[in-house]
Amino acid sequence: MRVARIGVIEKAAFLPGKKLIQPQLLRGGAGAQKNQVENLAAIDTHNNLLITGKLGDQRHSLVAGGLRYGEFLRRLVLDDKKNELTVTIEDPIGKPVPPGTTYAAADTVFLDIVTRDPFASLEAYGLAMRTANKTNPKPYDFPTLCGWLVSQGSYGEGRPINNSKDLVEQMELAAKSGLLEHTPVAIRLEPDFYCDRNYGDTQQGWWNDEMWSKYGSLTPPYETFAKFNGKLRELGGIPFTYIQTNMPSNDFALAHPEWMMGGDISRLHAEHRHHMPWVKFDFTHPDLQAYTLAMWKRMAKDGLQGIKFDYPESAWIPTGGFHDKTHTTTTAYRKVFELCREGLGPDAFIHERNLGEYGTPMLDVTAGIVDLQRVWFDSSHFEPEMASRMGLRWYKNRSVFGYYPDGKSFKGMDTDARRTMLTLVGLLSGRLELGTSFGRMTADEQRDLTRLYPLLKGTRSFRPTDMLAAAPADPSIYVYANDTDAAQLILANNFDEPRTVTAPLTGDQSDTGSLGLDPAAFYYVHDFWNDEFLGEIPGNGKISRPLKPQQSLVYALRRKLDHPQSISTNRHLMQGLLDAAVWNQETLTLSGNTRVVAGEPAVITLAANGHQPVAPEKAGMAITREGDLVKLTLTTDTTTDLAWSVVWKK
Amino acid sequence: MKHPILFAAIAALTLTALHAVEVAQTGDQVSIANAALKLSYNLKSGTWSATDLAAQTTVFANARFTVDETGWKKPAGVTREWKQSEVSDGFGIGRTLTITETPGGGYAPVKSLHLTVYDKQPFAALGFSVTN
Repeated sequence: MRVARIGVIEKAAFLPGKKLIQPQLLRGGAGAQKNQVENLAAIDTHNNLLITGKLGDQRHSLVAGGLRYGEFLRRLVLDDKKNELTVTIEDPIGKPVPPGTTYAAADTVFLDIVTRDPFASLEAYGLAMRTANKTNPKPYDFPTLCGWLVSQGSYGEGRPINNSKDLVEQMELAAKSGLLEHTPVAIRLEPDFYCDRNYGDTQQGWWNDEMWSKYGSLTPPYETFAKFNGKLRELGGIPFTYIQTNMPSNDFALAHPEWMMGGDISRLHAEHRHHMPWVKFDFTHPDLQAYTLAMWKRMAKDGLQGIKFDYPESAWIPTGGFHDKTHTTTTAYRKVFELCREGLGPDAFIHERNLGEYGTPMLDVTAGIVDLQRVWFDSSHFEPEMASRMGLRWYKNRSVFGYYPDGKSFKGMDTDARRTMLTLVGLLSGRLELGTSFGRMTADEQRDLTRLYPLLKGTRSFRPTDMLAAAPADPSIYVYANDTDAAQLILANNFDEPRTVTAPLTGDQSDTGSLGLDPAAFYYVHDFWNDEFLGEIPGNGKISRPLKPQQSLVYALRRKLDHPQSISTNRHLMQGLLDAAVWNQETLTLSGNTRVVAGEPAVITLAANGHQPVAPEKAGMAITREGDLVKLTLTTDTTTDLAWSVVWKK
Repeated sequence: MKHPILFAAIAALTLTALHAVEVAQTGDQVSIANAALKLSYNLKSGTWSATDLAAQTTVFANARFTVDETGWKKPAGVTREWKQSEVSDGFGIGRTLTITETPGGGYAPVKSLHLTVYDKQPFAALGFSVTN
């Protein structure tokens, strides 16, 4: 028998005898799935689910979803008419259980019915998923130039640079621009010759230098990936490329019909929906697995560091018919990425462009294998819902997957729009893909871009504190705080007219969207992009900022101390939160460590708090007084992590 | 004056007892619980429930455990048994309550629902196994 649908919670009476007041739901989106907080009590979703609301004055929350993934997906249904909750472990074709055997599933479901705080419960879920699946998504701690995106007139610049020779030139321009002083740069070559031309013959399946050259991707003098990757790495770049997940070239299918689904290529001639070919690879076939694994190992040896899997929908085969009958649809899908991970190695960056096209479910089943999922269809612009799709998965972001909203081009973006995009992509996602080439990036654009790096590390992400209070609208308040001493705040106006966005510093976070700070403290506030000190706010007060249409800004909130303290830097969007200065009361010295780029002054804003600075003795350090603030300016001839200290007197 | 070390030891034991997962049967009801949550399975009806102990709230009840069932088949006579086992993994120490439902006849799987509760976690992990 094959078991395909296991109801671990089947048609349960949800909150029997009670009724949840103001119910709200958040589906556990994956890929490009729309996921917003919905003010409803009915949902049918994959992956995971939050249900929250009130019973009397008390908030109750339920978080359930996939814990360990192996051979099945998860589905969660809340039926408000029947008041029924169902959680299933499913697969379209199911798992065979031969006679006389027992199948003990590795797949499990997380169920939290007691944590009332929905933010805490979801964050615990994300970390539990991380533990169960041994996930460790690598941060894309660099911008990635996409050769295809730049080449497109509509999204990029319409310059045909999606080939190895022109992309090496891009890397040379990046190095010349000084960008590498701030961050490494990845360059992605997309060999994407499509099957609507040349009788359906493409690179897919061949995956060798000869075919990548034949179709114009590898061009002299870099006509092999070893030469291309080697040159990029020599210049300080990180080589990435691209593959179409399950779209075999016609001539490859003719050469290896036994590696196709069912060993059947009888429909190879027939036209098909673009990435739903009739003839597909069967990645459960051991010979194709060996062939594909050898390719990935060769690519690793040739210096490749990252890969984008395009059209992964093509590898989701709900009809089954695999060579290896022990596979489920889920394991056959995972196998594609597992082969890549094994071949490229644990340090490779693996990207699943999971858009759910043709009705394919968008799933978390690749947790622990891939690093990154895309949340938006092809684009190079930015809009508020892009932030929401990433921001409302903050509990899985960085802990289980990375998320990003496709490439971004600076064209058509004024300063405010550019900084809004960089704030939200840089802090909510971290993965920035560029459709603006290095030769055409202005100095201002490049300067703003460098404020993102190095990326926020670890498993904590910005929390969308008003996700319930603002629902169903996009969140407008995101906060990152390790404790109540310091917080980094994003305020977002998601509307087309000017708005004042207000966030209470304390109070019930679920009800008010508060920042979760200390009501007894006072906090300094500093606007990063405008380098503007906004004074201090009591912990029981609110921060209100007028924002332009669709503008987002980032602010430092720092607990006011009784001695000098750092409250901001011009170097990074996190404004020094991650490399806090240390006060020595005995020597009245404030000291810290800041990365200073050659030729670019790093300015640290200090609050004097009743003290007077004594001029630093070191060369390359200058102090200016601006009211109650002190600006410490650091300069060096060579890029370095500079230890600084300022002595004060009362 | 109480002996401070003894007092601390008693307090620690009490805390441990409060947090340790317990499995118990009362009549047809077998349950697994820690200090925060309780999952109860009714061996007669084949349904289970989940209770938030602090709030004294039944979050859901009458949940069935199914394997490829939509509910239109008349249930044949089944036997239900339970066992418990200790678990120690990345989430800490806990116990798993396994409910096994064996069909009275016909071509149907022997199915087991695994309910795992940890001493110091607010969540449960649900799993399954099937014998053909």
